[in-house]
Amino acid sequence: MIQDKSTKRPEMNQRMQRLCQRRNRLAIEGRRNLYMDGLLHGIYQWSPGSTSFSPETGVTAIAAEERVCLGDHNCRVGVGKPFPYADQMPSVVGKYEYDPVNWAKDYEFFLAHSPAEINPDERIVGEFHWQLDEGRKLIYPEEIDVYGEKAMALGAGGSCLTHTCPDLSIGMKLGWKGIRAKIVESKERFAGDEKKCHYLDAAIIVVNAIIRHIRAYGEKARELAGQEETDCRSHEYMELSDICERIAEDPPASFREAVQWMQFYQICERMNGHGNGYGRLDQILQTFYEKDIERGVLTPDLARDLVEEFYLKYGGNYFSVSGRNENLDDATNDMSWVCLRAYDMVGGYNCMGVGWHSDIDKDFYRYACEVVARHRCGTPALLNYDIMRKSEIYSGVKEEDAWNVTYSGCQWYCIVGKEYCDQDKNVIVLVQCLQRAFDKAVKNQPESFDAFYDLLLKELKISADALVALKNMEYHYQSKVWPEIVVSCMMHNCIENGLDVTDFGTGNYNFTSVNLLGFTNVVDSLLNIKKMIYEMEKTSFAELSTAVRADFIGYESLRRELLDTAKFGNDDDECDALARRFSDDIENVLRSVKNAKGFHLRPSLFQFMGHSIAGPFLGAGIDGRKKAEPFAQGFNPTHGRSLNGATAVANSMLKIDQQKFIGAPWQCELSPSFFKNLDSEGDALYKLTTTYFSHGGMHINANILAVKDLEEAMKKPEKHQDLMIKVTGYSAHFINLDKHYQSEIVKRTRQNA
Amino acid sequence: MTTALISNIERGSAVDGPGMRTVVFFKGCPLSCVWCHNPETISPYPELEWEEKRCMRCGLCFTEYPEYFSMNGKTLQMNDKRTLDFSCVEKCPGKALSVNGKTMTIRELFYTIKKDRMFYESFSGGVTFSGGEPLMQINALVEIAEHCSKEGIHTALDTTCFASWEILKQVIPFIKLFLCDLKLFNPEKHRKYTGVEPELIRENIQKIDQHGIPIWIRTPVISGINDDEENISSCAAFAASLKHLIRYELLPYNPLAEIKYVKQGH
Repeated sequence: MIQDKSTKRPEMNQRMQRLCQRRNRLAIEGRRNLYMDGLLHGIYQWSPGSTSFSPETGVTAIAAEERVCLGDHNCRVGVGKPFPYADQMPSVVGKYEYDPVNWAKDYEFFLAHSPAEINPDERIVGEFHWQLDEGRKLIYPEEIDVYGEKAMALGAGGSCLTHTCPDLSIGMKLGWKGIRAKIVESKERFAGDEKKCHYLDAAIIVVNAIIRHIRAYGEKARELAGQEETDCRSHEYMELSDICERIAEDPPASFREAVQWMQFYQICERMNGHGNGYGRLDQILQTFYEKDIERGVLTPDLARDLVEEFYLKYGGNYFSVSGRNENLDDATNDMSWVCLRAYDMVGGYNCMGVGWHSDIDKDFYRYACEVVARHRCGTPALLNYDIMRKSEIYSGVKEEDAWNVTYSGCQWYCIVGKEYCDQDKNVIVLVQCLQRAFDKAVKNQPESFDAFYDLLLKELKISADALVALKNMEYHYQSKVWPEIVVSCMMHNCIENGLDVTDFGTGNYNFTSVNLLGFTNVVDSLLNIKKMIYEMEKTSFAELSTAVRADFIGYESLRRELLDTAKFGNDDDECDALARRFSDDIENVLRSVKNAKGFHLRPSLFQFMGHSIAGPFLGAGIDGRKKAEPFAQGFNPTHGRSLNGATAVANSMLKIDQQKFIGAPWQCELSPSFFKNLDSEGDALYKLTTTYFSHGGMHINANILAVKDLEEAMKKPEKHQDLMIKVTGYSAHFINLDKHYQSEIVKRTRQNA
Repeated sequence: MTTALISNIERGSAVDGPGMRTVVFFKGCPLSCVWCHNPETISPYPELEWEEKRCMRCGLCFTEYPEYFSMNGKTLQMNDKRTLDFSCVEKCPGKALSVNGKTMTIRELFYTIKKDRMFYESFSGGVTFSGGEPLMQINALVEIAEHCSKEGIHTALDTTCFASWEILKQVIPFIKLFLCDLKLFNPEKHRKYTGVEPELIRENIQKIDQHGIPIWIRTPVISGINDDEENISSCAAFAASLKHLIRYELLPYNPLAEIKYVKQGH
């Protein structure tokens, strides 16, 4: 029984105001920015020598002017200089090896030399200034480049690193001491198995390093307590010191300790990766909350206060709330409300998701919609838990695991502690498959549209095979190049099997998730080919090919014809039927391709950033898109081509069987004028989203934006420092984004104004 | 088979009536308001439109059809549109010329209206027949309104109320809400600015009220024409006298209408 359904926003206390100001300052100063190694990486999620986001410093960092800024989408708090001990890293002083112990020694050194800092006003502590790849090289063997370059040429690419969801409850039950005991016990069990014991040795090094790092915070707090003049703050430091000392080894025993434990886990993990989902926050914290409320040592307001600080501290928490429990009943609990209220108080950058389902506490979901409307930046992301669960089962996840699915970031979700699928890290550029099929058609003139369509599916299979060849090479090396030991400690079937989460044979789900770039553009192009070449005979493959290569210069009339054909997102039956057919076939083709771990490819109707930047690289399109124009985002309509309003967009999207995809977000840009005559923005959003979800929709990112505000922010960024928006799968300050992304967001918002 | 000449269908609208609605703009209007917001719906016939943004300035239209097209500065002037066939549309290389006015069967129209049914249900919305003046196509209007009504889709009629009661009463059983314009109270001004007498309009509104159907009265506020206190208070007083008035709205002038006039080749 939920005790408190209050949606009141009390006045923020001064301490929290100061913490908010610090959070905002770090963002505006660019100290939380995330960078990418050039635009090409944004398209293929891989580029030669680059298998992750750009390290800001270190031997593999590229020149600042070559990097692309993705906005304040980072947990790392930059200090504008490189890791001071980079030249003393064990792998630099000694030998760099593809080996878990070699990696763990670097991690140990890195953690030991990362300062434990406590800022004024903090009750939840823990942040970092450098990532491990600024000290240790994250480079795969050169032989992988051959596969990567071949895949890129065929419109595919991908990398491996994090993007899973560890089960934090494992560590919160055992504590780090218990985790270490589990590793030792496993090592005894595998005595004689050199490889496993070696890995488990590495795991012990890592766990001990984490314990020491947490203790360092305790020591720092104690030191500050001694320097503090007021009893009150001195007492707070002592209390913090005690907490750090306890949870360094033991499991958290109180709500506050639980929150602090999670913060430490997140930073220790994020330092060596670039981001995971961390599960179902309300489920993780509910027991601690109940116990402390019962003991009389916690109030809902105090709990909210701690969660607020947790949000501010980490800078973008990938958690979900609500959804269903193991019995498939509504899992909304007191903590769901606390977590949402906390975001409502502090707003800003956060990547929390709410799992709607048909039995959800309606008051709670209504409040979630109010929060989205109030903060206007797509947070929380609104997701259909039922479709996510079905999607997992459809892909082959067992029913007994599927209930524990959680939204984890961008468009993706996974089973807590049991799935490692490189979500969001791999791409097939559908437009390139189409281009190859089209080039063949120019020579071979397929007799019918269906014959052409078959050519396209063959090319898709070729791209999928190239991707899986690259992935298999990466999988082969991953646990040696960059084992994910911190994650593995919080996964099922890893430590107990003496295996890293990235290894083969853990028994967890290891599908390869694949983002599709250009889905809508290919659908629109297919309809043009069907109508203009085969049915009306208005043009030919040869003429269209010439026109596209010329970026339609000299072929403007033909381009207008192409643009006048029906487009996806307008509830046009013929176009939508083609979209459905193509989406089903993509899933079939990808399902037929298995990775070396024995799992098939899973498509996602989303691509992180490529849609904004791929145009100039890939040229004009058969859909009438000029070279300089962006692609459609995921399966959203192409900019400027949705002419029948939001309901038509929703109807088109609902014709796709969304459960077949590991993510299908509707990037719903709503102008404030849309709500003018409706009851309230929150209420309208509630109705819009529940209708969409009730009919099979999976995910809505709702930005409520006025075009004029965005345009003005581009011209006068200093006046719009607080303008937050949902960029794609994450939110960020608009003014921190690279101009490419700013322009694309203005375009897509203008379309819906 | 009954057909309707439709100028446009706007989906997901939250403007003309309660909740989220599909608004069907019928073509043809007996009034000629000088400020008309929807000039493309005045003519009861399909007619040419020109989209400035799309025009490639190739000059083909006024070379091939010199008696109909001329350039007035940067905009295209269209003369005597009624006698012009639409062959120019197909020839226009920029697709800047198009035909406004699509003949739709009732089945087609109903199919389109039904598409957003799930949103009508959640937003307590429905369909609004607007224009132009839908009463000018009474057979089609009655048929589509009856279809919608039987299917449980909320129906609103956005009307000038300028039609004989014999016409208007036919649709009464199938309309759940009337959106009636009351533009000018003074008969002389009404005649001057809309081209018709106001009495019939007011009588019809009162008769609708007597039938117990909810009414919204709306006054578009046009600067210098009807925004004087006397007119607004007279319109408001008339509205207040209705037993089934739900809402009285003052509508701001829609500046987008100016683009429509350019499109119409005026």
